[in-house]
Amino acid sequence: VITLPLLRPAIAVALIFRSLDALRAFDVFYVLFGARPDTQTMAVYAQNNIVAFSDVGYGSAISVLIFLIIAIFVVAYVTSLRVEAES
Amino acid sequence: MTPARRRVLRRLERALFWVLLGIIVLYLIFPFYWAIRSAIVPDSVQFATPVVYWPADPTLENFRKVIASGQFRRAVLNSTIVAGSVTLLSLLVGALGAYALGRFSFRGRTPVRYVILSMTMFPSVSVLGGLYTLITQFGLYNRLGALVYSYLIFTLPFTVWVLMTFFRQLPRDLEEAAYVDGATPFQTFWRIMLPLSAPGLVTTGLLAFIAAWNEFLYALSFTQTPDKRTVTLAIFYFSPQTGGGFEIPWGQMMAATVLVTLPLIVLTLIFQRRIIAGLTAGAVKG
Repeated sequence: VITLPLLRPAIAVALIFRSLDALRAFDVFYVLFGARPDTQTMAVYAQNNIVAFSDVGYGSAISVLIFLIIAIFVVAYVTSLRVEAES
Repeated sequence: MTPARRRVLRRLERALFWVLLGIIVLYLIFPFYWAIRSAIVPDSVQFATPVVYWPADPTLENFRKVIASGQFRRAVLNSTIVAGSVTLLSLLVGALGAYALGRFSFRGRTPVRYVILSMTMFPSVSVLGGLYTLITQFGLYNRLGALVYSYLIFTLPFTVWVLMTFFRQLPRDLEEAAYVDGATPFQTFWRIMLPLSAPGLVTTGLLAFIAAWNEFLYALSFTQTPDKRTVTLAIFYFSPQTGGGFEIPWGQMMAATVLVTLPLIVLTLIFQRRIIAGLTAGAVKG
């Protein structure tokens, strides 16, 4: 009741960092599964379009969407946890 | 509740705590253990049906094969070149930038700080398209320069940010003493502040090096031929043709992984003392 609320800023930061990392996951998925449509992540999809298919426009559009989705997550966390800006 | 019951409860709590701790440790250690175990086991035992947890006859055969492979040695060289130059460049540029941002006040300093902070969290795939076009246009494609250039995108903001907080913690008196003795701002930075921030430099340099050493996405996207591969890519492409059969050479892959992880562990151990040492302790008499 006391410790956990005090830890809220630290938990929020950890949560944001972990979600950012998880949403942009690339290497583990690519190494284990390759660019298969049923097991790819957003980042694999984007990379595959840019490099393998040389469709830089389409791939970049995906990249921007990834960025926006991550931004939505971050904004949602920050508002729901009401984190005060530090420093 | 009687005292005896309370004691039993407390003991149960402790036991549960240790069980939980044990599970977590096992979960974290097991992959490393498995990598080493797979590296020292001969191929015939690799997938033996009663799982061999502790090999009866450990062999260094896999390591020998990996080290003998020219492609792997080339990859280690490439990775060393790339990660080394990325670390040096980001420390050099990053220290200058961090000093300016941490110690001097000028217009637009706060926005610049926030841009750098947001850059440290930027997903690297979101700039892949633009980078790819840039690198092909500049003729850097399939060159190590492309990797150095693109790795700086994520190491530099991080270096600047960490060093900036480091510089801000150093006592201002040292700087003022240097100015009183007639040092120019650059001399103050180069002679006084930089040596004092050695622990910070070492830590951030090491982290930048590890990040560049482990990078996969850009290395995969910006290189093509085997002679430009970094270690992560070389292990990824460890395919039947290098193993000389139709099986994936798991033992060699694991041996390569262990070999590639070793330098990082050694570097951390070497610099551990510098990382911990507080060089400013006792520098200013109060």
